[in-house]
Amino acid sequence: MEKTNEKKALILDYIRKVSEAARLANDGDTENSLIESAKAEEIAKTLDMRPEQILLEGSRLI
Amino acid sequence: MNPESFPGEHPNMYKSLEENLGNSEVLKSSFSIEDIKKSCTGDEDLMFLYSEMMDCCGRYLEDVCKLAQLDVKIKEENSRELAEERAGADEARRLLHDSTMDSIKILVRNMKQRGKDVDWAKKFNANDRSQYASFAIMASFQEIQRFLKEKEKKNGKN
Repeated sequence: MEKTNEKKALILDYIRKVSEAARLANDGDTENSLIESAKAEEIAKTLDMRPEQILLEGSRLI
Repeated sequence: MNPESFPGEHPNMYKSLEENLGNSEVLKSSFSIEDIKKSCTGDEDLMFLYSEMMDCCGRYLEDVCKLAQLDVKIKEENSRELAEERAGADEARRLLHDSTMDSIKILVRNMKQRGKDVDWAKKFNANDRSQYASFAIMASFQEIQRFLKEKEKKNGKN
């Protein structure tokens, strides 16, 4: 996969995971929220970007 | 091209999202989900409807991201399987768009009945699907920002 496209896919994946983590937390499902949140953190590490940066970049992709 | 398909359905919305969501200050200024939540606080029914709406909005954002991910993949490898997967995902997104619109309308109707402030919903034209989609995406981004801030606070305490 081309590097730029790989980055785009990861950014979109981060938003999906963190959105799911937020929804699960609101539902009171702390355990699964933490799991999704940890997955999102891993993606952020791979991207080497702060969450706010990822959200801003992501908003331009959708 | 099917005019109902994503993103052809809302070309202006995506332009507007690009312009507005690219700036987190603008995102904050158009409306605040915290204010909407505050208006519902203390009323069990309104809080339930608010939660339902936010759940739909979050799921909608996730579906939109899934479609955008598939579009990235299709640019790399345009296979029949991927095209079929995209068509299925787009149909799921369309159905969720309907549910999200309903959840927003139900909350607004109930807030109005109880004399709550619904200025944030004045711009909605019942027939303009893109306005609801735009609201759902912006609301979800605000919810994610709130969630991340709360998490940061908790981590700071530990």
